[in-house]
Amino acid sequence: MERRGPGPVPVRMTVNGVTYELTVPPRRTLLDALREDLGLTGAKRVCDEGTCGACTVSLDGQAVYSCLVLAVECEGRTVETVEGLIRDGELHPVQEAFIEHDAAQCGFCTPGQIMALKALLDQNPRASLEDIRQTVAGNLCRCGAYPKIIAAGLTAAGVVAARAAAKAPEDGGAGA
Amino acid sequence: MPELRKTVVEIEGRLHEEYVVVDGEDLPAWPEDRVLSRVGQPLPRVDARAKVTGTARFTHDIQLPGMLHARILRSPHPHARLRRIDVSGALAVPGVLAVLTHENVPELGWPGRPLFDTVLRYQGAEVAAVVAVDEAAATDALDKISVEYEPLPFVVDLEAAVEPDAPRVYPEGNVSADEASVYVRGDTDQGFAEADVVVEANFRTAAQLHNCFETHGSVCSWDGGRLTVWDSTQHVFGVRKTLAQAFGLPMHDVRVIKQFMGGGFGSKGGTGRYTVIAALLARQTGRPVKLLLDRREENLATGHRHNTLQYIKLGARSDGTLTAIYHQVFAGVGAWGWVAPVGGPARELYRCPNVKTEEYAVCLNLGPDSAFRAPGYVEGTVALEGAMDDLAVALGMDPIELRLRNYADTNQPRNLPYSGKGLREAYRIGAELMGWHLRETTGYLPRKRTILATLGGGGNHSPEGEQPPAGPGGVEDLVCWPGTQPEDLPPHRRRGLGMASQIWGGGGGPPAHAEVRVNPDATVTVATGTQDIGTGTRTVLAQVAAEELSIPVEHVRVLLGDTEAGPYGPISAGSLTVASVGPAVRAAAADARRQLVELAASLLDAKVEELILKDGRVEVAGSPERGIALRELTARLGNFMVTGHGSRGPNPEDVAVHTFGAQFAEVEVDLETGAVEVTRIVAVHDSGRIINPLTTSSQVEGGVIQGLGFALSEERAVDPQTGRVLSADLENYRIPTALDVPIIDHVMVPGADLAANNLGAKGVGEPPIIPTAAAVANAVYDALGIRPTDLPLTRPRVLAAIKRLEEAAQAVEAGAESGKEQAGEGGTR
Amino acid sequence: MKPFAYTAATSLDQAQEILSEEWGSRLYAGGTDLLTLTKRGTVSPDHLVDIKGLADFRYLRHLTGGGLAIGALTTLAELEANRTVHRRFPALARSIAVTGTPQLRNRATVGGNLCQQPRCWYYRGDFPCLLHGDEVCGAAKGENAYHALFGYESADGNRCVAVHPSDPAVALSALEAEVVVAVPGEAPVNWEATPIDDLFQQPTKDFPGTTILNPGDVVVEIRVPEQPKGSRQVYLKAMDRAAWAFALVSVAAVATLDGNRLADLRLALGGVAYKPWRARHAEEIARGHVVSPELVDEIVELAAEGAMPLGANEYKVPLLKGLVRQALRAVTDESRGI
Repeated sequence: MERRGPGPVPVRMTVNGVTYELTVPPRRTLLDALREDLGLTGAKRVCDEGTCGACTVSLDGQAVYSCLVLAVECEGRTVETVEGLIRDGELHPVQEAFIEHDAAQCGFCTPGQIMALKALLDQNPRASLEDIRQTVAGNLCRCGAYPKIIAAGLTAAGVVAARAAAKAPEDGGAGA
Repeated sequence: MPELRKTVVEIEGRLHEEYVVVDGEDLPAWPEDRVLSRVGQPLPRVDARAKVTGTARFTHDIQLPGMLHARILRSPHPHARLRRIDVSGALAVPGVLAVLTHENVPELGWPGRPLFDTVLRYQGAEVAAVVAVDEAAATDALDKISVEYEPLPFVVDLEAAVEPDAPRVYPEGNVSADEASVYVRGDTDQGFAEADVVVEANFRTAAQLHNCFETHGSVCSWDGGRLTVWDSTQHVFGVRKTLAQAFGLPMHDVRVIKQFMGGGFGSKGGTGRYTVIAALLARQTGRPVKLLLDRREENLATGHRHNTLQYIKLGARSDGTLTAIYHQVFAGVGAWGWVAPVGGPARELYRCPNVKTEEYAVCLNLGPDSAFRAPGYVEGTVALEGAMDDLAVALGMDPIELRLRNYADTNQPRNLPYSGKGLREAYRIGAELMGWHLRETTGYLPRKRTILATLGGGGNHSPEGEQPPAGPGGVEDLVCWPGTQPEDLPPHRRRGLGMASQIWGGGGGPPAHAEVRVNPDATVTVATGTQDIGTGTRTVLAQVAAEELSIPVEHVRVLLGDTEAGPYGPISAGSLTVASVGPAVRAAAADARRQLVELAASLLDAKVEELILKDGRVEVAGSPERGIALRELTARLGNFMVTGHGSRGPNPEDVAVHTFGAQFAEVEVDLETGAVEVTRIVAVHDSGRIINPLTTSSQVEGGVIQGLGFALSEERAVDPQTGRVLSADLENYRIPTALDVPIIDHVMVPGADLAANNLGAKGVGEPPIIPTAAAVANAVYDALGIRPTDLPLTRPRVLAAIKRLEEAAQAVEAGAESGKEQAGEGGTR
Repeated sequence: MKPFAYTAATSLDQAQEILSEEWGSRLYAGGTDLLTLTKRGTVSPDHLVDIKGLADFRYLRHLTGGGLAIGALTTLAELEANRTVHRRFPALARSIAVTGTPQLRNRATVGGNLCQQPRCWYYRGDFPCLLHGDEVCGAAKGENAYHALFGYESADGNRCVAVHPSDPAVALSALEAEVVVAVPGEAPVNWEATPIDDLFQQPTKDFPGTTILNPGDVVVEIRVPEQPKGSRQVYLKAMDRAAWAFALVSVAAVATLDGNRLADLRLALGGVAYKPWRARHAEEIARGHVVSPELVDEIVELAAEGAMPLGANEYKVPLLKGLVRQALRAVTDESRGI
């Protein structure tokens, strides 16, 4: 690969199923590219240095802090943000559970919390309470909604596990 | 008919008597036994979907066509004179449109201090502002501004600042005895003379930074002479008023909008200097301007809970009856600011005839303080409830027994009975849930009666020219034997139980107004100029309107957070929203209901008095066949919207309205590593009728967790050599993570406060943070036998306490060996 | 962040060439440290050379003789998920689990974790710091609660008193791991393995790095040797809060017991020096002795031997003793736990 920048360079990435070609300088973070260039303002900028979790998105299926990823690194990669979770008007189980448990107070850390838990459940449909606690530990919440976020994570994990079991009847006999 | 009434209004723990406009006669509160079907339900938030899908638009998320971005250059020095500033380099950066400094800032009717001063009194004070086509260009340009500063002597340490020869933030000195807030009831000298037991202690609490996740910021846009501002604020009407004044605009030419806010916690109550700067730059460039603070600016310049240095002294008879309370407070308010009512708990919480509190503001070369969730009461409760536990030890009494002995049935400063006080019940419920009785059966308390040793502590602290506080010259720590520990604990861990009480306002008051509009399809729009700062206001107001109109909550939409959405709503602070705006919404809904019933009366050919509105129908009581569906009724009105108006009635004159509660903490302290692990919190609060138990539980948990941060880890650190803040970020300023949260059990004391307002409800936003740190500190006291006096309880402090404990134990052992006095039944483990 | 160019390296050679020849170029992998430094302006690279895509350096391989070779670009999350690491190197597994957060571990590489810069708040802020080129270390006489007890020689302000922030480094030190460094122009067969403790150096005004690496040098592999049969390992970390904080003090202990006798003990301390600090004297005293309360007391005291508190970090002495005691309890008495 050639040396690129420091001026704006083209970057092609897929965000929430849509492929975009952006023109951004190498110093632009993925977070700023999502918010400023694509208008996807779900991921939030709180600390901008990987100490809060509010900018969490999924990069090729893994939860990352988008403030610590450069947009230019995302060439050919797949990004999912909270805006991409809704399918045909239907919310993801983590989103449903957040509503049910009142897991969002001010709501500012919420998209990051949801993306972190969603990535966990994608990777591990049978996540345990401890898995959920460890995941939520990567996303601060200043309002202190933690007990409800963890409860929502458990509820969502139950839904995801049940769906996984329904999809894979061969190991359905083993129980949830 | 609107009328002017005089009433007592309480904001953030301070009382004011004011004239307010009240519209019409208030309704009586729903009686205690009324079965309510919407109010009292644990409904999910009406705006939860927007929050979980990322569509909730916060101020940070506002993007307007042609929008520019501004950044502020801030003083790197804690105290400096600005000698010279050269912005030519910044203006040469591609994309930069303008730079504002003290040299070119236009004259404004802004009531605050100069936007850009030439004497900079804290790191973070505004020096210049740049506006550019994007944030990167604006940030790059900040580096190109050349400034010559003359550094001045500074003071950033609270204890140093009270010394007479300390560097001065202002020429007149750092502590003003004239401006001290002094309260006296009875005669404390006499009270202490009558006491059989006197305890005294010094406490220190750290500056707590709000760290709102959404940093302070605004987007300002001019349309001709009209200014529209999206602002991360707790008070849209307050910002409108100040901006109209600053820019000399008629109020109807200023619109302030705040739909969602990423946390405020008291720090977003005023009008930001950044807001005025953004509006100026937008006017100057003719384009919308967005100005958001970054995390560092947020922590330097947007306020904090002041740090405190407190001396408290209690006198009591041998039966535990308090005879005197003296509480002296020095608060580090920063470059300017206010002392929150730290002495509030000492003045109000316990029955005591002789009380004196003194609260001194101490200026420091640090950012100005601001309200932070129950300002003052959090800090003051640490001292009062800590001293009460000292007293309980000295008297050999159970801490709850001591508190009940001094239970106050009246608000003593105002000499009024309380409208309702569920504190006794909170003690009972909390003690039962926590298993408080174990504290006695395991022998914690009886053993503690044996005071092991006294250790010399620091001296008293009094301001320049003030008499030192009464009593002995030094404060001594009581070191006691911890009692028998539970068998399941390894020997290097100690468990302790502690509790603390909570008093706070939260009764709200006028003025607050609302409109309820019934649409032709019988859906309802509630419009009021309050705001939802993440507490669930939209949801509880929808429940109140739905209850009064007997319609489903889903049929109600609440418009708020916009000065053009509805009539005046107060600041969202002081736990006052539910108790202020809620009753106004109910009154407006009742007005709409009255009109609907009147309209139905003519259609049904019935008398108004015969009709009831119930479950979406207006019908003749007892003859349901003579009725009309609400939807059918409103459809008959063409496009007419029935509009009800309502306002918050005056506060009762014969009672004082307060919230109460008690929290219990269980902790384990690791004697080897100094780790304090809070294993459980039980929170029991009395806030009258609960409109929504689900959002209430969120408030309680959130308050407790912020209180745990204050107790255990949150502390602003300042470099003594440069006067700069070391922890202006989320790495070094440690707010709790999910793994720091213990089991939190919480209960709301049942019952409505019928005298408080027409809902019987009181606020719940601030009460839960008030007693948490005090309860934790008391639990650590119980575990260790040595009182923690400095918060937060980080390793250095806890390990130092453990060291003193070991030294005291060694001293006693040595004494015992040499056949001197025996230190009780204790003995080393 | 100041503007910079970016190159996604296609080979290690290409990356090394740029890094050794181009002033202002910086090696970029997980970015979890470099980007935070760049955002604060602590460093201002002109060119980031991204080696993350070099799949050749992202692996876990069993060594003949039982150890494990870890490609330096392996992420902490990949290591964390590896069963061998969990089973045979539990101290390493634990040190990774308590590093940062899942999101950080998804990005952070093990090589980058070892080579990260100090977290000192003087260094990372606008404060006097030797590593900024200032004449004096602000922390030596300032707020140094998070700073060193060992290895800084003098608190006169002329020496950096920051501590190395890595948790895995501490565990790897106790496991006697080695790192393989690729030197520009050298063929892979000539790449040398260095004991991990020797990778670190005290940062100085002239050389503000935490490692001995020269520009263009790249840590490419970490080799963890097989541990003695029946050895027990533990990693304990004291933090200001329950997660997502750097260690105040941490301890990695690897003990081999022969019945009741300590055949071998390795103790590495974190958060107390510019590198993982091996308590060698304590290790020597322990070797060959029967575990007894007296021996434990002696090891605990020796672990803190030579500690030079700076003022605000005096608490680290009892803390480190307490953690060592708990670590010894964990590795010598399975029934009692920590």
